Amino acid sequence: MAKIRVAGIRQMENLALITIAPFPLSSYHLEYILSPLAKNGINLEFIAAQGASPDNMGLAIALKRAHIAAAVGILKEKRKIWPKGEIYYQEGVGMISLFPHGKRAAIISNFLSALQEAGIKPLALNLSLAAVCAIIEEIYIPQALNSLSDYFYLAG
Amino acid sequence: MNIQMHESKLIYLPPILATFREEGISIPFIMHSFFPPKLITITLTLDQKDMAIGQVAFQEGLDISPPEFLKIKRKVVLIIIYGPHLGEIPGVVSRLHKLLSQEGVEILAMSASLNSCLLVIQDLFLPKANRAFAQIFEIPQG
Repeated sequence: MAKIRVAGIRQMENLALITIAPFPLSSYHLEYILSPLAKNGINLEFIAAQGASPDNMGLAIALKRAHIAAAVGILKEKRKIWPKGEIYYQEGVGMISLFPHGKRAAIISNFLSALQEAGIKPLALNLSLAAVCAIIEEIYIPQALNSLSDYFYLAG
Repeated sequence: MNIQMHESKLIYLPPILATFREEGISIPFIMHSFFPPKLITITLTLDQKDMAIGQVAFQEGLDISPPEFLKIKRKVVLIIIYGPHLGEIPGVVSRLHKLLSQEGVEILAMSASLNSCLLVIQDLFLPKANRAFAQIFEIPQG
């Protein structure tokens, strides 16, 4: 298997993941819950909002672990706008970001293969302009990096 | 394209994406999350010309059939907002959605991490979305 050249790999630790599901995916609802987080200085490192149908959406956000209590408190206060949804949260997660040079299908395929080979289940995954980011349990970051090195190599 | 499947089928995703690579199909946007519990929801965008191949690859690779688990929306646009310091400033995404909400833009999916934010909307909302962006961001001309 040929390794794919990438521009970089970055890891972030000490994060927490909050999932709200089902959540109505609309800008109104997103602004309603994200605005108070921002006003309290809580920055979000990762956001994924998606769903198969309007009544079956979900929202996943990752933030610094130190902010989890405040964030969950704020979200519970705002819960009246999604009465059917549950708030799940998980501490001790981290984010691995891979910075590709194109070949996106190949990059994502190899990225998921590497995590699978290490026995790691990604908790959430998204693709930004510059990177593929996955949220995983923090304890698995060393194994993930080790496995990724079998599929990718750094430029230069 | 929106796919919902049991989490045990996640192992089939890399081979499917390998097919995309072999067919030269690019994936401008993909995300997956684990909700509802035990299910995986995958959202990805493809060029319209690649949609048929993509649909077959997922149906055969995952042994699922539409419309229950695989839904396709056509004529969508992917908007990428990029700013070097976007990820360090709390409130960018909430301001963005405040303006999109005021303009009546319906979003299909969104993701944000590091220094970019990606939005998927129906193409008919693009003019309204652009109006919202112009109010929030200094957009380079040209």
